[in-house]
Amino acid sequence: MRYVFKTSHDQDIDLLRHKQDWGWYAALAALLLALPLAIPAYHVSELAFVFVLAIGSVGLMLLTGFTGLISLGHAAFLLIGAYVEAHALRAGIPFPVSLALAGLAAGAIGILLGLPALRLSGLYLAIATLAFSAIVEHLFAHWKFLSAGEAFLSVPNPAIGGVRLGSGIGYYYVALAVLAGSILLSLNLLRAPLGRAFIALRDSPIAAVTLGVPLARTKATAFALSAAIGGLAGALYAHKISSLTADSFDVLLSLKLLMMVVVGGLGSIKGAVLGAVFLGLLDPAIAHAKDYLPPRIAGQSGLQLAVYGLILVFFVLFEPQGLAGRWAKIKAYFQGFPIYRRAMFKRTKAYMSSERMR
Amino acid sequence: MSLLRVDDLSLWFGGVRAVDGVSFDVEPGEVFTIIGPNGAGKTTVINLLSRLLSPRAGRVSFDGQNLLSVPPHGVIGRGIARTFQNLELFEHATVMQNLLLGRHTHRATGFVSEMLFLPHVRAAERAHREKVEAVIDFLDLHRHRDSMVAGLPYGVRKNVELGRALASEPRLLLLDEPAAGLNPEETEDLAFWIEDMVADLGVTILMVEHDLALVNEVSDRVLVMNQGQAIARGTPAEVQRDPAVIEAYLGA
Amino acid sequence: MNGLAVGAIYGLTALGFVLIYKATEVVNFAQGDLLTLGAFIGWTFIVPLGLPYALAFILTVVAMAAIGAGLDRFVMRPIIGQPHFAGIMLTIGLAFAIRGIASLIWGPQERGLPTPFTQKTSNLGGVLVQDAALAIAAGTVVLCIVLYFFFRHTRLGVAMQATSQNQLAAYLQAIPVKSVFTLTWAIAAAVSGIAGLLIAPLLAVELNLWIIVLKGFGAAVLGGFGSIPGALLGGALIGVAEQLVGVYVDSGAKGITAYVVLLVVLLAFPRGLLGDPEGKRV
Repeated sequence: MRYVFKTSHDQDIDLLRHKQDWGWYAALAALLLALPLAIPAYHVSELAFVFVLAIGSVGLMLLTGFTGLISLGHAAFLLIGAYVEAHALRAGIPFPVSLALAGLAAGAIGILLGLPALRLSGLYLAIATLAFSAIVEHLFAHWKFLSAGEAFLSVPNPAIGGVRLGSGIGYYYVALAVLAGSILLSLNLLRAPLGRAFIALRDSPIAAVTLGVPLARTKATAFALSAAIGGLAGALYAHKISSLTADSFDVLLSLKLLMMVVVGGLGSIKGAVLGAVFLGLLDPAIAHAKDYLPPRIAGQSGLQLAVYGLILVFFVLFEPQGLAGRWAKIKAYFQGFPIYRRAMFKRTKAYMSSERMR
Repeated sequence: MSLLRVDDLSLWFGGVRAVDGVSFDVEPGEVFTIIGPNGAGKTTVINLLSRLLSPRAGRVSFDGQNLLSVPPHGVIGRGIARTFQNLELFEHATVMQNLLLGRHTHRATGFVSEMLFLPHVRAAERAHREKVEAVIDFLDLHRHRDSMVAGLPYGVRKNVELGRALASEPRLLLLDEPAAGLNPEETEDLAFWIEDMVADLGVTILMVEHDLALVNEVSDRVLVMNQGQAIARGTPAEVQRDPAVIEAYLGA
Repeated sequence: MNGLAVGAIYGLTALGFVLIYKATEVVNFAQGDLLTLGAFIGWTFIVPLGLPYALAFILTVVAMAAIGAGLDRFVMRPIIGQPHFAGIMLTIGLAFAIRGIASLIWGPQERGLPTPFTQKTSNLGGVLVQDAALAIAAGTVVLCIVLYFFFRHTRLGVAMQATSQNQLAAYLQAIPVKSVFTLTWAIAAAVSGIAGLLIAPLLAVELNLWIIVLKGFGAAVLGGFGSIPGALLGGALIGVAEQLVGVYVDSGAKGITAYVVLLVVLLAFPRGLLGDPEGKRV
């Protein structure tokens, strides 16, 4: 373990503990910025899609991983963002503004969901989010006003200074920028009082209340932020699929978001990104695997579902700290070599105290 | 003027009178202890004072102002902090984060500036951390500063909860069985800390306790409860001679 | 009438997870997929294997019980004691895994379930009623009576009740708590399997039957999550509400009736209609 000799509070407040890490992240940034110029267009767009997934994942991570509010219907916020983006662009609103509107609209609906959230316990809240998502999807599928009367709502491809932003290299950089922004905002929050309030809500709402955390407002804020980020992801997702139908934002998408968060590691922004990368690699892998499997294992959706489900089960049982946790363990192994002890990461079992009145 | 006045406080659930017409005053700068057999209603009184429960009858005033009109999350803003009998720590956060949450009531930054981490947010963070350092010094938590709470020994966890309450700079500290589960050395430390808190930090303490040695050592006045009612009050010595108290503990 | 029948199925599904929730404090999101699995397994016994209905029914129940027990023993047992979230994620994963695997084994096409009461109707005092709906009603009543006697009057049933109320005390009474969990899962899976067999003649044997789990949630929530009679009542309410909406409002809206009812009830009664005493003692 690298030891940090601390002489000022800033070392704790800063985003990165070790000065060398800035170098690593700078190199990563440089790589990501330069990549589109070196690799084929197909891969650029795949990578851009991973960024979009990661944005959604970060949003859900804030809500579920850090505030402990389970949202089983997060796709609803992506849906709202997507449709707002489409309608805004079709109405002639310039691109960056449409994106902001998508985020705000989704955030506003998020507050709406956050308000009932106060009175509902974790379990009922999860079910309520599921019901909410189903209703939203239904509304957008059937309400002519929202779908502009078309079965598939086409999404305009905006351009600034001749560069297309809804596809290709322009899209890549936009997605990367929004992802970087979301990550930065989230990390900032987490080192400030509000982020700590989120964690307090997750770990002990009762103690949080006695320390002055207003449950209602904080939950609503968590929902709003998470929904807004989801809305941004949805708006970008709209460009990727370029013609919208409410079906694209079904329960499967909510599940994918949940998977990213759990597989990545709850309570870690790094985990949110790792989870997105994992999923981004998983889908093409499943598609390729289909070529090698007997034709009886048909039905792409069946195979995908089974794989997702099994992976979720696997991670909950065997890798509860997710990829971020595994990454931390591997890093510790190499840094502490040969003194690495497996017990270093052994979490004392924090037993669930029953929620029931005895 | 008394810091805390409790007048005829009552709470009943169905046929059970958890707290039955309890009245007492707590003076500033004193250590006031509530003792009594299990099920006497002591923790319920604490829960009522921290507004996690609402009484069916009675009045409570803190610093001259009605406390019963304050919502649960407003109590700490009035200057009342508490600890829990069974510890309510933030398990998946570090000791530092737990203590910093004690500062939440002094939060002066809005969420937009926090998202952007503007310079005044950083300055506020530094100030909060300075205060928390004082608490870490006071309770000797240096070694555990960056440890996740979940794996820490029981005595340390109790200290973290105490520290978290102290970090809020309270006027009145409600302690629910602070010595439960502590070994004799730790209990001695606790006694010193209680005295230091009153002398150096100007905190008034209202605690519920079973460890009579500790009660004798630090308390200025004691209230004895049994089956929801206050049956005796006075100095520790007076109360222990009271026949009603003796009967409650030993008799029937 | 159809509304009540479908509602009974929702109620049975809700029964399944109320059972599991009461015993283990885990919400089983896979309950609907167990229902689907029951329908498919039943189909397999009846159609390709050509067994008589009664035999197929019994075999399906046994198979489902075994599957439920297996799921608990090997998947759920390791996470006993972990926070709720783990259980929720795990059962969601199971739900999708079961659905995916079912689709791989049986393929995505719909089939009908030939039973003594498929597609037949009877005349009940002048009203034409589907035999399948009657079967559901009969089946539900029989099941409830059986379960009632089991829980009240057998040692095993009483032990299960004890476990659901206070695990530590049950353990100290030499009740093997973990085995009770497994038994609970077996029963809940069997109940869902039966529900699947009963609903299939009315709807179809197809993968989307799992959606019923969501309505089942609605039923369970309506009834207050700890209450078995509540679950059935909730199911009936939702079933009837759906039918009414389908007839009087708009057939499209029928699909989301359950969710709307669910949300409205939750907002008004955060603890369910019949109440669910939840809350933490500090």
